[in-house]
Amino acid sequence: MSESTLAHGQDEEVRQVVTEACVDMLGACGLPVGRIAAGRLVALSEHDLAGFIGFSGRVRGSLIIAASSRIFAATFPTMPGSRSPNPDDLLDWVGEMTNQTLGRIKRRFCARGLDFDTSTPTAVKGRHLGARTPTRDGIVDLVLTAGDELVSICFELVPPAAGPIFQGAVEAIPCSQEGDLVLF
Amino acid sequence: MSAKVLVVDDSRAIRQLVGTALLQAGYEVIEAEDGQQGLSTISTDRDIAMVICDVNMPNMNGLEMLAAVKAQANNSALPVLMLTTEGKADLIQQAKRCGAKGWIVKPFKPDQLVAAVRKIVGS
Repeated sequence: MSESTLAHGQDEEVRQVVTEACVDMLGACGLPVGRIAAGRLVALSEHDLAGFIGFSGRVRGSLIIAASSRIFAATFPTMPGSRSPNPDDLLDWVGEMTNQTLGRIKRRFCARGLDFDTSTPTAVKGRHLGARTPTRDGIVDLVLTAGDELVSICFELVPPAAGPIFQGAVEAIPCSQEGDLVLF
Repeated sequence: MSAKVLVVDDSRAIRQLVGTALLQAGYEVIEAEDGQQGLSTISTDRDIAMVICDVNMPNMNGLEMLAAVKAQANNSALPVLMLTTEGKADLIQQAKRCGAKGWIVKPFKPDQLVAAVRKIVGS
């Protein structure tokens, strides 16, 4: 069996986790999100920013989010009185947004008893980012709609050498949720 | 005189968001891009009243910085609030054992952050 194959028929569960986390992240940024059917080819020529973050542990892999700068500008966190983001701010936010999305994936994995350590994110600016074909086993490839724009997501997971990704008998790993605050 | 808060995060967007919220609440804000720079700033600036610190950062992560700050006799009482995408209970307990004052999971509400800062260092 290929190392990157999502074993034990859990590829759909991983896809569901990644989709939920990405929809949740974009939705929290105020964007109405929909999903385009897996495998459908879409025009990604306007994707000029992409964020990348890796993770390792019992499973390892990476998350890439690519979209147009308009999407990242629309999701940039602001509050009254803060200045508009410049191109460097946007590039930074691409990495941070990818980081926060992986955080959401990680919490969903923890609920299934599986943890991993994350790297620090990086971001790139270019042209036609996110375009890839054909897809490989072990990769969750998603295209979401956000308003009139498209967001391309690529989540690669290398499962453990033996056994399923999520083990049914394993307890959830205790985890706080987004926005939780605890003072000691 | 307003209290000075050091914001340590490798994300410029987060530093900007936290900084704007705290400035509008009347605090003075200075920034550092990673734990190493944060530790250096803390070691040289005696006026810092509180630190808000990310966990996953290059060069030195937030928990390493927290431990280093608490190991300095003259900074051991400096309040440190962790602000991170991490939410695992064992990491939160580790921060508590190291002497952190609290933990917020990103994304955060600016009002919530300011309320926590007020509780820790006062208005």
